[in-house]
Amino acid sequence: MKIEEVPQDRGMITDDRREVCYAIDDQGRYVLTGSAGWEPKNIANRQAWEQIDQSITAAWQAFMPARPARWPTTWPCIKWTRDFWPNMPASPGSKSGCT
Amino acid sequence: MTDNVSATLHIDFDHRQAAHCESGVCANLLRHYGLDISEAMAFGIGSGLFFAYLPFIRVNGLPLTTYRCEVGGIVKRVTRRLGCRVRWQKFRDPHKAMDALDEMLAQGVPVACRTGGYWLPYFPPAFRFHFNMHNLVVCGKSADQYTISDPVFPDLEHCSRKDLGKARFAKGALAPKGAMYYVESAPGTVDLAIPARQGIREVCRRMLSTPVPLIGIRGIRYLARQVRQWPRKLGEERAILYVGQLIRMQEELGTGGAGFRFMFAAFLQEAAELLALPRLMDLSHTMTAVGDHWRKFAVIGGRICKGRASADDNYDAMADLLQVCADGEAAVYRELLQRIKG
Repeated sequence: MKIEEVPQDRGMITDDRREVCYAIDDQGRYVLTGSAGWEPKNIANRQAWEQIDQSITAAWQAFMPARPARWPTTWPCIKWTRDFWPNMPASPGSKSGCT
Repeated sequence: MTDNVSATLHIDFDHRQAAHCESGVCANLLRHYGLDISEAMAFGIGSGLFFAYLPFIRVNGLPLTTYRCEVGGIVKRVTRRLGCRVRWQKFRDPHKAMDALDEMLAQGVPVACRTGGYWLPYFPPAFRFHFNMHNLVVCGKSADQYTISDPVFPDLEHCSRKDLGKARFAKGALAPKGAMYYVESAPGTVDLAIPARQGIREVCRRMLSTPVPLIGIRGIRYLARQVRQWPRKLGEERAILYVGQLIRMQEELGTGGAGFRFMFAAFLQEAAELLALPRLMDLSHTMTAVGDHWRKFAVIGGRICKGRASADDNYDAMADLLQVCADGEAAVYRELLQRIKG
């Protein structure tokens, strides 16, 4: 990988910090250079976070058995959750706890 | 700083950013003791380069692939080969662990700790995975805040006692258990030639002649055969997860690019001068070319994960690239073994 090929695809790093990459300069010598990220890596990481979100949602649903899925509509279950635990978020995952 | 001397500890520690935490910590620590070696040199002398595909070990429910040696192996080998004495400690009680850390800091000794990345507040949110193999150096303290030289970050960072304690006692796979280590004694000057030869020899032998088919060059070829079968065996959805995990292990977690292959190539360049073996320079270029193939592999994988694969981006193409990588690396290691004999 040459210096000019070092990717700068923003994604994971949101501030102006950089991670160090090894790349070769014009003389073919290795130098350390900064990278803001790389698309394949960003994709893979996003995928890993989606997996984590899914498993949180799955765990939440396993923890709340006879609740959502069998209820005819969504709103009674939200109401039920809100009434009994007013401070509890609808779901710790990114998706709704009631499906 | 002057009004509260007892609570403020500052060790003059030369922090340099590195690609990988363990080799970075190792190089930074040794530099503190007057042994000026680069991260790549530490990585090479410590025989950090490796490959293993271990489908029976699961990380997030997906098979483990590793491009580097075992945790702590780099530090252990580098310090042994350079003749440094390093003290390792593990703890059960977080309070005792933090007190021991304070005690060493009070003596002016920078202390390296193994931590779980999830608990470190200065990590960008997207990086806060539960990952228990992160190394850093604690090099100061003021009141409740520790000064941290974390090699993958450009500047010194800060972390509260509570957070650092949690990070040192992160739970889960490969829990660090408060592990910390520090240099007890180091030789003033050291000849790097013999350690570099030892480092190269160990990497080559491990990659070429491990009897287990999941490790080294054989491991890469085994993975290639597996990758070809994934879409049929696992179904498209799960195969994509497997590919994503592969890319993360290769490019994430501070590998310096291409699963440490570029870092090793940088080491070979330094070794070429050190050992007066100009041929190692050419081998370094070959290794860079191999690394570029690994990167191509990740590019195709990324497209497959994103559902943007063109006709040429498929599992067979990835498997073919892996075979190219295996061929290229095997040739480099074989010649390296010959060259460093003399």
